[in-house]
Amino acid sequence: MRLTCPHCGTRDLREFTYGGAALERPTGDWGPAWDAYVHLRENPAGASFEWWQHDVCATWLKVDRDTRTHVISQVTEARA
Amino acid sequence: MADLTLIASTPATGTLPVTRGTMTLSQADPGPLTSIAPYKGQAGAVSDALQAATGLALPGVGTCATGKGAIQWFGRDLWLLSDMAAPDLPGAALTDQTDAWVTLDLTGPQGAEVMARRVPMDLRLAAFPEGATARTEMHGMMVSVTRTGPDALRIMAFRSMAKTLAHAMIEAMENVAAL
Ligand SMILES: [Zn+2]
Repeated sequence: MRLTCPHCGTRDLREFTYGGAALERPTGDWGPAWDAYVHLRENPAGASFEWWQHDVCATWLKVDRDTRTHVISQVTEARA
Repeated sequence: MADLTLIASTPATGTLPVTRGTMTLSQADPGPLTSIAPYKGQAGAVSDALQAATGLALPGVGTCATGKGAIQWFGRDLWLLSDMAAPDLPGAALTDQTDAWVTLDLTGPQGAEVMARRVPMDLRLAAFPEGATARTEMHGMMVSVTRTGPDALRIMAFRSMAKTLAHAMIEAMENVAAL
């Protein structure tokens, strides 16, 4: 599997670290939405939105990956 | 009390230079190193200030520039100034990195073949010309690789990993020399 860093170009998986599911962070006080944000995860067979870090240049990326094929359909910089 | 004189010691790479086949690995002295991390939105102003002070502007992603000293892209929103003392740059965080890195020069006609055994990047001259620099992974270390000449690559890693870096490089040189 390869990911395309917006700075460094297409690189091998070994340069990246998985950072978990890219979820919408809830606002406000503790409630069911926060419980889901902290504890509940889908286990999709298909499109998965994930955080990855390109270790060598320190950029956090939001990656749209198909878990069945490892096809990467989109990579954007997290701060963008 | 006795007078004390401080003597700079080189990173513990083991004995260098080492030659294997057509390739030589030696320890380089890049002079003073300073990382430059412009504050948010300040990269343009910092580049202008650096250029006014040294003649060097902040180079684009994956490139470096040389003049009196040298400056290279070193990661996201990060640059490394070498071979000169850093000027005052109010819009950026400057950190002295001089003793933090080990710098090795790999010279000879088979640099790309040697590096192909260690890093997941195409470092042949056509893909990685003079003035190109990259951050990549080597043998578990986050390194910086810069092409300093048609037959010369400069590799930097954290100083604490100097011996591991030299070992990994020499092993790859031996693998290529044995072909
Ligand atoms: Zn990158």
